[in-house]
Parts: sequence; C-alpha cells; structure tokens
Amino acid sequence: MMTVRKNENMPEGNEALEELSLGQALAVLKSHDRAPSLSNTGMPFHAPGNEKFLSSLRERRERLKAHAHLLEDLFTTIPEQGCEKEYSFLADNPDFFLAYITLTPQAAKNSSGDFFRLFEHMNNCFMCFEEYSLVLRDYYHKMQELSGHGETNTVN
Amino acid sequence: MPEFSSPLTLLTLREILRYCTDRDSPYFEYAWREFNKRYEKFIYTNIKRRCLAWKSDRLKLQLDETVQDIFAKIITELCTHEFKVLREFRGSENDEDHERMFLGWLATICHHQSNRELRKRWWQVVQNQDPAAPSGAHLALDSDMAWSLYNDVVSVLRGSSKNKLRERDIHIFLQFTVAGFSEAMIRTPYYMKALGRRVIQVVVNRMRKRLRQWKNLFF
Repeated sequence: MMTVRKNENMPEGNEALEELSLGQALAVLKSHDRAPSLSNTGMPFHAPGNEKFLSSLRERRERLKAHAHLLEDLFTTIPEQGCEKEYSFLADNPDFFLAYITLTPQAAKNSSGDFFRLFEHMNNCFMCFEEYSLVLRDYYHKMQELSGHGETNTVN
Repeated sequence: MPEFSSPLTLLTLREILRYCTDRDSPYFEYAWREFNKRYEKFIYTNIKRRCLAWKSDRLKLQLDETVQDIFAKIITELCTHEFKVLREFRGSENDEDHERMFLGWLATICHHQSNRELRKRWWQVVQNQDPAAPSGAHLALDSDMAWSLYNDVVSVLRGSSKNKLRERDIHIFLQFTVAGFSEAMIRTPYYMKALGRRVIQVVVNRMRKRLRQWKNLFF
C-alpha cells in the first residue's frame, strides 16, 4: 500500500498551487537550511497551507532537537519484524523522516546507531519500504528541482 | 456427424467444448471461432483487470502487448496436450450452471496465467533482463502478490544468517530494482552518501547473482 500524504493543512481553493507531499516539504526545509536568505522567495509553494505545513515541520524538528529522548525513541521503536497489515510504522511516523533527512547527521546517527534496525525492518516490511521509497523519491526530485537540475529520471 | 442444437451459429457450450477438443471434427474450426466470439472479450477483460491490479507504472506503459501475450499463452495452455486443460473442465448438468461454472473456471485460468506472467516480468526487471523497459517506471505490486514476492526475495538474499552489512545491501538492492531508484537517489540520505557508485553496482550485481540461483522459486 503506497500512501500519498498530501499537506493536510492546505486550505480549500488552493488547488492551483502545488500541494507539498512530505518528501517535497522536507526538501524545501532542507534547502531553506542551506540558503536561509532565499527562504520562499518566488517559489511556487508560497501558499498559506504549505507555509503552515512547513512551520509545523520546523517546530517538530526543533522539538526533536531539543529532546534527545524523542529522537532516540523514533529510531529505537522501529519494529524488528514487518508491520501488521493496514498499519505502516513509517507512514504513521512522519517525524522519522524529519529526523532521518533533515537533522544533522551526528544527531540522528547518535540515536540510530548504524541504521541496521531501519534496514532490517524495511526488508521485513513491504509497506514501510514503499512508504520510505515514496518519501525519498519526492524528496530527491524536489531537491533536484530546487537546485535547478529539474526532473531527473531514475535509471534501472 | 454430430448435429448442432440449433442451426449454424448457436452452438451450446457443451458442443463448443466437444468440437474444440476434437481435431477430427468437421466443426473443429467453426467451434473455435465460436469460442473466440463468445469468450475472447471475457478473457481479455480478466487479464487486463489482473494486470491493472499490479499497479505498475512500467506495466501500464506496455499494457496492450502484455495483455495480448498473456491471451496467447492462455489459448496455448488450453490447447496443449490435445486440449487436456479444456477437456478437464467439469461443469454441471444444468445448462445455465454449466455456463456460469465455465466462466468461473476461465476466470481462474486467466488469473493464474496472468500472475505467472507478471511474476516472470517482475523477475526480468529485478534481474535487469528487460533493457527495453522505460526508465523511471518503478515496480509496484498489488498487496496480495507484493508481500509474497518481496518476502521471497528478502529471504533468499538473506540466506541463513543475518548481518548488518547484508541488511543494508538487501535494502540497496530493493531500492535499485523494486523501487527503481538511481544510484544518486539511493545515496540521498546522508548515511548513504559515503557509498560510491561502484559499491552500489557491486552490491546489486552480487545480489542478482545470488537471486539467480533461486530462480525456480519464483516460477
């Protein structure tokens, strides 16, 4: 099951504007980190709903940074075995991606060890593997777009 | 000479099956034409439904030819060994039930043959034996088949022992093949950044080699 999670905070009537998925929002966040002065300028996601979404991600990230145990919990609670049907650990924990993708490597690595648990779980759980792939794919393409490389095809 | 229940076109299903499985019958070809006229659309619809259930972008791009291939395989299956499969159909005494049971039986054959073919195509993609496949089209599977195929692949690759490096390598392989990630995409998370392109290629090739030894498990 592949869950496409759109920005739930997007108000009605903004269909013409791009709704950011989680992966895309993380890319925007990451690019803001790299060039804060360019924040939002002239970007198509400058819509009130997306702004709210991004702000909430920023807040959650600050909270994760401030409370090491929250970060640690995210990584240590990853189940070893596959998820039960109709429930995906990664789809239910967007904060995981927030930490995995946008936090400083050291902060996340301290909490996650060597990511063995994450890989083991995804190898046991097709749903989480799909969720992970979806978020990472969106993140990658948005990063390419924001850095001026445009859409990049995947190659098998 | 056998007689039709009605003149010319209106063969009953029993008659169609009888003449279709008897090469010596003067009505052999006629019965097959009737079979096609009545059931071709039904078979195509069932195959197409099964193919679409796989939710594969790659498959959608090749849907018509895939459906055509599977259709040809089903007809071949019905005809091999002197129509053994077709002969084995046991319906009902009642004509209406007989027709209904036949459609159910045919749908099951479509389902199995489609799954067999789709598993084969999935295998070809994972093994990179499908160079004509368009890039950027990742594999996705319907939930029934997905878990079983995915688990089979992982258990073969994992072998008898689990170790940290192997779990990472299996993940890389699945990203590259099942998710259709490029090397650059795999290296997106900072933890993967240190991996060189060459390492990813070596890992994928090694996993493919290991998987090939278990090919029979997937067919």
